[in-house]
Amino acid sequence: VIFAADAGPAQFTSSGNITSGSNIITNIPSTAILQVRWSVSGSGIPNGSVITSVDSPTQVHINSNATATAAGDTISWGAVFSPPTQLFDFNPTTNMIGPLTTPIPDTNLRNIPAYPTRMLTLPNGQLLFSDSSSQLWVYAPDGVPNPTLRPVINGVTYNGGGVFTLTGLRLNGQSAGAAYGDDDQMDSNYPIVRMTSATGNVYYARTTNWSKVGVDGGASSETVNFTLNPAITPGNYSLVVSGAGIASFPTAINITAGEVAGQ
Amino acid sequence: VSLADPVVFSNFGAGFSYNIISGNFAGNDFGGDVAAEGDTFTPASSLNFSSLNIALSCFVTGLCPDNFTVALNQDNGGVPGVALESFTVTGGSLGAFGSSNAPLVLTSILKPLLTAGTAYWVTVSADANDSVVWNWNSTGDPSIEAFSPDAGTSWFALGFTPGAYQVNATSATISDTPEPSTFVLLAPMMLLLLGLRNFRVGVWNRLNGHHHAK
Repeated sequence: VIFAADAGPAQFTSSGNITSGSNIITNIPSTAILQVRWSVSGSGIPNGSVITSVDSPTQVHINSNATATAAGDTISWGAVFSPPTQLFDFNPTTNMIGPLTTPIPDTNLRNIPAYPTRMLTLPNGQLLFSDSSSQLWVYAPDGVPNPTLRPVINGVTYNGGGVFTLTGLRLNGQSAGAAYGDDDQMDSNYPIVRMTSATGNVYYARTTNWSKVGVDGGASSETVNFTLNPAITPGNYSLVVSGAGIASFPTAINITAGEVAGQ
Repeated sequence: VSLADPVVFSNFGAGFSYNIISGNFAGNDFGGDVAAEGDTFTPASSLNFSSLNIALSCFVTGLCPDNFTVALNQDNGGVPGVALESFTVTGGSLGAFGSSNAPLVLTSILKPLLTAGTAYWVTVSADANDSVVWNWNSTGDPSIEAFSPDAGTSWFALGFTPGAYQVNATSATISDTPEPSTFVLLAPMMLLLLGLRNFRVGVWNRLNGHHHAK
């Protein structure tokens, strides 16, 4: 699954009446699908106007006063890059997309279009979401990845000089991760190595020299080099490799003092 | 293990060597799973299981407080099936992962028959309190490894590296307990032999003047 944000409400047109100096549009045949913050355009309606309230099945308020009077003219509602932003969840089992069961309490979303937002799949399977403000959000999907799609660790060898080679399957995951249309590619289809100590401390290792950059590697063996996190200490660790948010099942690994020292 | 015991399967290196620094988890794997592991082998000839050598260790000393289970299982469509024999192992008896611990030796009591050409599994399962490690083999064993994220309820053959172990058999095949149908076939013959014996004893007694005690 590629997490993406590059859309707005499908443009909808209707007729309606406006009066110069008024911010009310009346005689709309139906307001059933209109939502607050959808863009509004038409003759006599200033650029940048949006719906501020849906008052009745035939009337809405907008955020600016009309500059001309018109009756029965075509009015366009919504369209790409129109607020609000709404987040959807894809269920691969049912192949259905629907609004998040528990929406994130981000009050900015109703006022912004989708295009300033960005997503990034995290190596623990969560999704980092930005509405372009200073507030970041983390989405934790329910369920677990299909076991047959997860990366597999088959071997870890120490090459000296602080460099390890990890051998395994499907190390890059099953997708590029996240994207925003053709504007931004927040790719994470590369191996990310994570080590967890028995006391719960988590260390990420720097990976290099990926043998493959394609996704869905199937049963083909792949390799990646990694160097230890500088904060790690000798001991035993639960090691996983993650590609585009899908992590392997853990493998036990012993790290020696010599390896930490890079000998 | 007796020197005479045939080895049914082994992926140990020379001197029971194995990968000391890597292995698969059983129990708490620190990834949210209660893991179980299974490795498969197929005997080349029919022999009775006698013992198992297996490279197990405790992830961190003190993290294996409970008993855990090692079992010999039937195959169930490419993953472990019904257990033929189970061994309860004290977690505290394991050496620490990362050290060269002697493989555990588990001696069979039931001595089930291993049939030539039939796949069997050795499995290790532990509860969430334990973090047992089944050290990888170091000989490049390409056998299928099965993983369970839920303590053996569901199994997946995902391509993991098999753990190190050796399956030993008795030097002589022990017959299985006869099936009831076998008894039905044998019963008339046994009755006939018993009747013939009584007839011969009766003739002998009569010829020698002996009598059965009443």
